[in-house]
Order: sequence, then C-alpha cells, then structure tokens
Amino acid sequence: MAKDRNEMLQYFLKNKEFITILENEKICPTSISFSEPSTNLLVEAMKKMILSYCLDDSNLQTQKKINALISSEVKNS
Amino acid sequence: MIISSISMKNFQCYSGEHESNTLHFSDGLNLIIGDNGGGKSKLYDAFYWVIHNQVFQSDQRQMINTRIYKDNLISDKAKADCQIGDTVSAEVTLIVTSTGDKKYKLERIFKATKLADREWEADTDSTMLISEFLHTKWNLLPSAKYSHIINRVIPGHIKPYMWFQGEQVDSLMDLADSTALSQVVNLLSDISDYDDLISIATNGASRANKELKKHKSTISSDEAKSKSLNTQLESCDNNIDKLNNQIDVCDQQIETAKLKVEELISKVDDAEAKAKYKSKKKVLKDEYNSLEKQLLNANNNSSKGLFRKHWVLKNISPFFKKFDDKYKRYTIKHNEKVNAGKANEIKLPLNMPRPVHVEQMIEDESCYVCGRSAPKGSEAHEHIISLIKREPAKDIFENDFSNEFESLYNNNLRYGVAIDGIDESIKNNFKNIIDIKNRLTKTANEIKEIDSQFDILIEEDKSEDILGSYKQHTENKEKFDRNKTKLLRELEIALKEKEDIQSKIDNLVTGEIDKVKEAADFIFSNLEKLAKSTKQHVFESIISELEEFSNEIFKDMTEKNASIKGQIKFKKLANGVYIPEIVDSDGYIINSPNDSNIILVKLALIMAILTARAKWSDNYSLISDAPTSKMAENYTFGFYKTLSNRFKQSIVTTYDFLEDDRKEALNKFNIGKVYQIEPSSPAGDSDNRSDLSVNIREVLL
Repeated sequence: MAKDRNEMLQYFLKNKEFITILENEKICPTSISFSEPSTNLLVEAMKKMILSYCLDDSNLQTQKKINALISSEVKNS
Repeated sequence: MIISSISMKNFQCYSGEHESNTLHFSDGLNLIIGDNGGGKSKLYDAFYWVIHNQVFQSDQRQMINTRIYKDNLISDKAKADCQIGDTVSAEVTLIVTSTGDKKYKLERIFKATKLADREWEADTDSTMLISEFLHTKWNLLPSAKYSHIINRVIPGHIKPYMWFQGEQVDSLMDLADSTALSQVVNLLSDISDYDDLISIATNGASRANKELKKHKSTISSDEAKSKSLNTQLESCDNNIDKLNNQIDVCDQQIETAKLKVEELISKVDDAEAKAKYKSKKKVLKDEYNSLEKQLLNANNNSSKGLFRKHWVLKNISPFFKKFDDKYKRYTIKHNEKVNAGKANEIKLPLNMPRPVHVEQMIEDESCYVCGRSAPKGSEAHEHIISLIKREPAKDIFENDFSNEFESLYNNNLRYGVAIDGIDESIKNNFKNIIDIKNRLTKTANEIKEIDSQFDILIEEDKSEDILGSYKQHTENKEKFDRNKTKLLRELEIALKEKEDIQSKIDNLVTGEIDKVKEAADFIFSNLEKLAKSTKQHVFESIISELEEFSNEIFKDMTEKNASIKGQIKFKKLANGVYIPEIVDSDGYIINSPNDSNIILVKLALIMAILTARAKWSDNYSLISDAPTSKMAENYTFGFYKTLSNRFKQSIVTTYDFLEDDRKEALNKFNIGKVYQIEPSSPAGDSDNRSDLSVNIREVLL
C-alpha cells in the first residue's frame, strides 16, 4: 500500500500531545504542511521523518536526514 | 477488479464444456440460488481454485491443494465418459475487469489421462494462465505478472474478509478474542507504518542520548565520576524499563483477571441463585411427594367411604322415610290383621275342657261342664264330638315377614343418623381432594418455574467450578493490584534516583554543551513520544471509525427486524486492547444473544472493516458461499439489502429465495445477475455420480 505522507502528517497534527506542544510554541496546527516550512525544529524534524519514511528510506537514512536537519538548523540559529 | 464471468469445464459437479457452465456477473448483488447439494459450494470452490489453486474439502473442513485433491477435481461424468487413453481436464476461467477497463482472463487447468478403469495418471499440479484482452484478442501475459494481477483481483490480506463461506464467519471475527480487533486494524490499515516511525524515533533517541551523555562526560570536571554516574544512569534506565515492562505485564494480568471476574460475576449470581433454587426445589419436591400420598389416601378413602361412611346411602333419605312410613303402615296393618285373626278364633269358655277331657266326655257320654248326660246319638253327644273335630285356626298370613321387616327396620334405624351426615362427609372429602390437587398443581408449577429458571442459569455441574474460579480470579486481581501498586512505588523511586543522577552529571559539566547534540537528544526523544502517541491516536481513530460504521451497517441490516437488539460497542481495556461487545441502549452487555444476532454483528464488523477504512468494497468483489447459513430466515433480508447497497459487486451463493414467492423480495435490492442452479440427478444420489451435472438457469426478475 502506498504511504500517504499527508495522511500521516494529519494524524500527527491531531495527536493531543503534539497539539499541546504546538500550543506552547504558539503554532497553529493548520498552518503546518509539507509545502510550508516551519520555524519550529520539532515540526520540521517530524516532517522530515515522515517524508523520508514515505520515500522508503532505511531507518538509518531517516535518522541521518533528521540529524542533518537538526545540525543545520542549530548552526543557523 | 470486478468479476465479469466465471466458466467451468468438467470442474467437479460442473460437467460439460465452458459454454454450458458459464455465469456472467455485473455490479450489485449477484445471486446464485440453489438447494443443498445443488453445486453452490463447488461454484465457490471454482472461484477459490482459479485464484488460489485450492478447494474446500468438506470432510476435513479445510482448503486443500490441487496436488492432494488431484483428479477428484475432474467431474465424475467426464471421467465416466472417458475411454482408456483419453485425456480429460478440469478448467475454470475467470474474466475480470479493472477500474481502468482493462480485461483479464485467468484460467486454471488440471489434466488427467485414463490408464485403466479407475486408474488415472494426473498432472502433479494445475496450470495457471493469465491473458489480457488487447486489440480484439486475448494476449497471454508473462507469468511474472501473475501475482500482481491476482493481487488486484483479491489482495491476500483482505481475502479472508472478502471471500468466505458462511460457516467461516464465526472464526473470522472471534468476539471473545481480545486481540481480534487489533489484528484487524493492523491487517487492514497502514497502522504498521507508525511502528516503523516509532522504531526510527526510538533508535534515533537512543543514539542521540548516548552521544549527549558521552559528550557531557568529556566536558565534565570529573570525567571518571561522570562516567560512573552515566553507568549508574544506564542501570537506572534499565531498571525503569524493567519496571515499566513489569507494570505492563501487571496491567495485562489485572485486565485478564478483571475480564474473567466480569465474565464470571453474572454466572456467580447464577450459581448462587441455582443453589437457592435447588434448596427451594427440594422443599417443594418433598411437599409434592407428601401431597401425592395425601391425594392417594384421599382417593382410597373415597372408595372406602362408600361403605365405611355409608356414602352408598347418599340420597336415600326419601326412600328411608318412605320405608319407615311403609313399615309403620305395614306394622299397623299387620297388627290389625293379627287382631282380626284373633277375633275370628273360637272363643271357648274359660274353663273349657281340654281335648283329652272332651275325648273322655265322649267316651263317658257325659258333659263334664254341665254335668248332664250326653248319650250317643244325642244332640249333646254330637256337640261334644264337634268340639273334637274342630279344625285348627287358619294362619292369618301366608308369608309372615314381620320379624324380618322388624329386624330390617331396627337395623336401618342406626343408619338414620349416618344418612343425615353423608352429604357433608362427601363434600368435605372431595373438598379435601380438590384442595390437595390445587396444592399439587401449585407446587408443580413452582417446581416448573424453578426448572425454567435453571434453564437460563448455568449448567448445574458447573456451579461449583464457577464459584471456585470466581474466587480464584478475584484473589488474582487483588494480588495483581497489590503488585502493581508496589511496582509503581518502585518506579517512582527509580525515576527520582534517575533525576538525582542526571542532576549530579549536569553539575559536573564545566564546559559548554554541544547545542546540536542537546537538540538531537531533545528532538528524537520528543519524536519517539509523538510517534508512539500518534500510533495510539491512529489506532483509536480507526477503532472509533469501525465502531461507527459497524453500527451503521448493523442498523441497516437489522432494520424492520424487531427481534434484534443491541448495538456494537468497542470496549477499551486498561491495557489498551479493545474488545467488541453487544450492548443494550443503556450500555449494558446483552447476555446470551441469539446465534443469528451474533452472526449479524460479526458480518456488520466485517463489512465495516471492508467499507469504512480502505474502501475495499469499491474495488473488489465480495464472494461468499451461503453467508446466511447460520441465520434465521427473518435476519437475512437486512443482510442482502446492506450487501447490495454497500458493495460495488458481490457474488453470493445461497439457498434463500429458492421458492418463487420469495424471489419478489429481490426487486428491493440492487441486483446484478440472478441464477438458479440445480443438479441434473437428485441430490444425495451419491451412488451414481457418473451422470451428475449442474443446470444453470438465469432468473429474470
């Protein structure tokens, strides 16, 4: 079955735990999408994880992509 | 893919060429109606065989492969018609159409050659061929594409829910199995994707955490101490993991025990009620036996009373009085007659001579009375002689029963008193009998009532087991609860200890912490938590969706059927597992719903699985052999209606609608094609199957 990244993202955004984190960061869940970059690192890391998984990347490849994102974001901040 | 047609050649009872054994299908509910033994299951076999190379062997209740079933696949008639040296084949051809209007032909062929009577040389296995219809002709596809095409006809993971036999419904959805719903959700949804995400995030978090710890040690004022603390922290983490696992196990144990207790609690009530009823029944039984004896005695006494209590004399009072009167009249008359008789007797003078003296007077020719002489021949002598010749007085009565009558009368006198009490005595006796009979009936009814209560209670011999089991599970639950409380206390201590160690490690850090490592630890640990909670959220969403759809379908299926009660409720257990229950409108579990009701619930769940989430119902054909075989007749209408409304195409073999007057109901469904099938020789004529074939007739509504 083809993986649907948007459906997966929507499930994350409907997760109460995530909604609480987003509220604390003053981020509106509806503003989050794959086409709109977010300033929040956790949101971007999550999107990266879903994207990489939906591209059938290996477990390690996905971790590396997330690490690269973290590294880049932290260094740029 | 939608199935356009199926045709069979010499496949089991479908003897003859494809042309005489072809069924076309369209969208909607396609029905193949036939009586038991009419070839319905063999038709289902044909669908199954062409795709899966297996047929259902009814005596073993399992699907078996062609390699084992061998030439049994070939029609007996076709084999009987074969000459030695001839080759005969069983074939099934399925034509399917994809949503993109591509048409495929799936053929399966199995051949055997007759070597001698009852001796066949069969292929080791069947042959599968798949062709695609292109440019007005069928083009054989390479075998590498077969599994892809087959998967488009019926994907393996939904096959059990889309293609099933009526008798399989029970096992498809076991309501008592707490993992059944989880399995279905895992099988039919993409929830396993979240397990993969959890794995990615967990591995990432573990790696990032190790990196951060290592980094903190390197910038620590006391690297050795920091390393030692990290070792302690690792041990503490292991302990926390261990405790969490133990708590999970404990939760499951508590849940299992709780379910058992809940399951048994109604039975415990039953068992206790049973014991109470048993004791009450014993008292009633004793009373019944005693009353039966009383009734027997009372009936015996009724017979004896005829004489002992002079009941035979009932209603003789008038006769008795008549007798009394008559006797009195008789006595009077008797006396009168006696007196009259006496009056007629010859009155002799007071000092009348005795006969001996008269004889002497005759001899002496002298009257001793007057002293005068009475010579022979004289009037006086003749008078004395006349006294001697006097005839004795005649009896007054020819037959005098006066003494007997008197005796009878005197005897009867003592019955006089008894006669007066006979009516009361009889009345009291029969009142007593009626009273005993009423009490007997009442007691019998009470015993019957208890027996009927017994029927709805648990089996008698299980009462003690249940009470023992209930006690055991209650004790287990209390034990597991205590264990969990203890583990939670230990976890709290371990978490505090971890916090302290972490604080000590952080206090040793002197240099600046690497922001990337710190961020990676934070991000991955949060991703891990989010992936886990999102999976749970997805699972619960699917469950909720399934519950809603199941009830929607259940409602459709049970419309206009007052005998069906309840709704489907997915109950969440403490360990996160859901179990389906049938509850009433107040949310209470319906105990002992009938079989048809359970089957409908299961079918509603299966249909919900197929229609709610993945829309399988729009893309694949549901094929079922006698799905209503375990349902009562009034339950089937809702099922067919729902099937015809919810599935793009369904192909169902059934014995419902066999009678012509029932076929009118089919107009209420979204009907595709309807066929009636019947064997050419009477069903059950198993001695001679060599002329067996199936007549297929399309029913035009």
